[in-house]
Amino acid sequence: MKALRGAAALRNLREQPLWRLLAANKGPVVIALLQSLFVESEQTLPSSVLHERLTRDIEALRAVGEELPQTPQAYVAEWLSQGWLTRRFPAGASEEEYELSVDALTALRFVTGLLKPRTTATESRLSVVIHQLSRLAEETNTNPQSRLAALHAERDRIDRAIAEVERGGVKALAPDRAVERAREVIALAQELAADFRSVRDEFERLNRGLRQSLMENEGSRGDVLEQLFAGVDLIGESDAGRTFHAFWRLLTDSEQAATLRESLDEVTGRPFARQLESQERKFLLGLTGALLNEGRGVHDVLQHFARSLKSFVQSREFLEHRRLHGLLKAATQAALGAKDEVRPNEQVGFELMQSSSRIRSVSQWALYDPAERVTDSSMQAAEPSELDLETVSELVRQSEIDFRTLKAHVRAILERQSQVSIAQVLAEYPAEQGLGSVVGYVALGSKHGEVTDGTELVVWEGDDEVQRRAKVPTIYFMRERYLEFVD
Amino acid sequence: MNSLTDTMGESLVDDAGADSPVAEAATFQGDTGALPIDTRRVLVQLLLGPSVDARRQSKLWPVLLRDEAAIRSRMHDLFLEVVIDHEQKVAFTRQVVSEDLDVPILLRKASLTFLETALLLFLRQRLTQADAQGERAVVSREDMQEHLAVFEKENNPDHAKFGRQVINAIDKAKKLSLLQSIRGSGERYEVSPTLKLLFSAEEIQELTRTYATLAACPGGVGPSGEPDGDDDEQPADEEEAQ
Repeated sequence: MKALRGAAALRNLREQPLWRLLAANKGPVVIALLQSLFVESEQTLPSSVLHERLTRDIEALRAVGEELPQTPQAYVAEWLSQGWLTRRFPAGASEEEYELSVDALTALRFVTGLLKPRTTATESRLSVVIHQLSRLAEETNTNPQSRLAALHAERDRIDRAIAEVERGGVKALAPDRAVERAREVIALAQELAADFRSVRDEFERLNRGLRQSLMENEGSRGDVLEQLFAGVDLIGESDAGRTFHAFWRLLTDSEQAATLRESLDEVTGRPFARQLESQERKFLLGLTGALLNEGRGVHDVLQHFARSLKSFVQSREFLEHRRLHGLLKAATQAALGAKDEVRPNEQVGFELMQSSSRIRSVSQWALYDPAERVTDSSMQAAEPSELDLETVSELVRQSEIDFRTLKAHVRAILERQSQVSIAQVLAEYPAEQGLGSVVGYVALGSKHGEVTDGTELVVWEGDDEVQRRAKVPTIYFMRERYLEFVD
Repeated sequence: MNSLTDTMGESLVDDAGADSPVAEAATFQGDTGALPIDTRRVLVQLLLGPSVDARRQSKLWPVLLRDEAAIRSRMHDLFLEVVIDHEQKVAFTRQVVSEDLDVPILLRKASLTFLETALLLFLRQRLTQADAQGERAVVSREDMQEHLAVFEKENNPDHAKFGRQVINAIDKAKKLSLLQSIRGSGERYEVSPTLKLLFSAEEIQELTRTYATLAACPGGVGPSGEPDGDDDEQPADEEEAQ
């Protein structure tokens, strides 16, 4: 029956984001994209950066024949719903931010591990196991005699080591084995960072759950607080929670932290460290910083969580929320009850007070001057016409312009330079649709470009091989708005 | 589409930013105003609405806090109350209420259609939820469309039209500055925290009563809407020039 239980548990696991990512049809591409988007140090990306990078990566993949039919936006939405990305909108931020979920992080690391397999049962691993095991044996031993014997043995070992150094100098670890151990350390540290993130996620889940139950259920405050402390304990006692607390203690112990920093400095300065890949060296150098950042993130969440929940409970704010929740539910029900009796666009006699005023004055009226409306019957030499933006949008509406191609041209240029005007685009990509192309660029520009006050001269050759020119507003397409040109 | 008031707000801030302190001391010919120029800018921004927001109008916000008393007093002269939410860092005006006084009304009221009220409820709900969880309230166009879909009449033959009406309702919410586009997030919006104060518990209850009356006697409440023709146009009051 053990197999039966195991199968059920694994089947359940396969439905989780981690395994689904590994098993996805597009798994390799998705994993590669996620890896490329979140380059080591940047764990959080503002949405504009994420979309820009993703667009660039997808274009590159498509260029080599990879089939990626959806828009970058659609992929982001899918990854969010699959639980591979998380999105939050921190207070004070102007954009939403994205992160890899803990599941995605673990999957990524797993795959990376497969690509760069560590020699199994390496010596350093083995020695770690032996060391841990003997320490465990020692520390769980209640017999003072044998404990003493172990300590004596340890002292003898140290004495021997001292004598050896005094006799023949130091014997350093062979470079190969040193590199191997450094990699062990890196792997451990990376797992640590993932642990922190899952602690933070746990706390956030708990926070949301408790607030939700406060709002929706009629329990007393005492119950919730009890639940809260029970929950905090549960999280604190989880593996991730313990790792975090141990780490935090270590970091806040200045002596320990200094030792950690010194050791890192020394290790990265040793000759063997040159055998590490540059990425690995960078990771080690930035290790304290990275761990501190992660740890601070968790710590901030914890603090914020405790503070806000306390005030939420104490201020009886939740009672007001609960009342509102009920009222809104009732109102929505009532609205559903009325939906068949009322047209969607019918004024229902409900007015919402606005917070903006409308001030009008006769001074805003301009006198009507009939002379302005008199038809001028004199003939004037025809000026070279200037297309104003209204005319352009009218023309656009009447014609079929191949915007897809035009956008592609703009994109192609913006990939190389940060801005480009319409004349410059036309110089590089001749107007295939004659005036249509020009009008198209102006229309695109008025919507997505920077329209300046100036005008510029554009030239193109019509189907009849006659050169034509026109004055158009000087409009710049900017790389910052690259995304707007993606179909 | 950016709401008009938003852009005006921004330009006002830019002006304030462009002016050096020296220029701020200057006045116009025949100026009899007594407030510092930057305080007057806050005053105008409050009147223009929909709010002074510390995040978007970082220059005006400290001035508002500095001269709060003077600003309150000037607004009282106009029968307006200044509401300042220090936690959310927004301020806006509200019409004062008085039993003994016939108060002239400066602030507009927006008359809402059935679908728009349904959306209003949804946004308010999102705000309560987000509030309870200590987060900012974010909705996507899809969320709103999905939610409003349940308000389609049974056996409605013209789905396309209903879809347009939903879009109009969302546009109206944007116009009323109840929704603010989030930069870089496509069709996702932050629900304006001011909605909490503009649409209070009392008003929710009033709306519930309105619905009940509608369900009981169709078409018998308030000014009835225009005939059920093609109604993609916005209500007339929105078309007036500023």
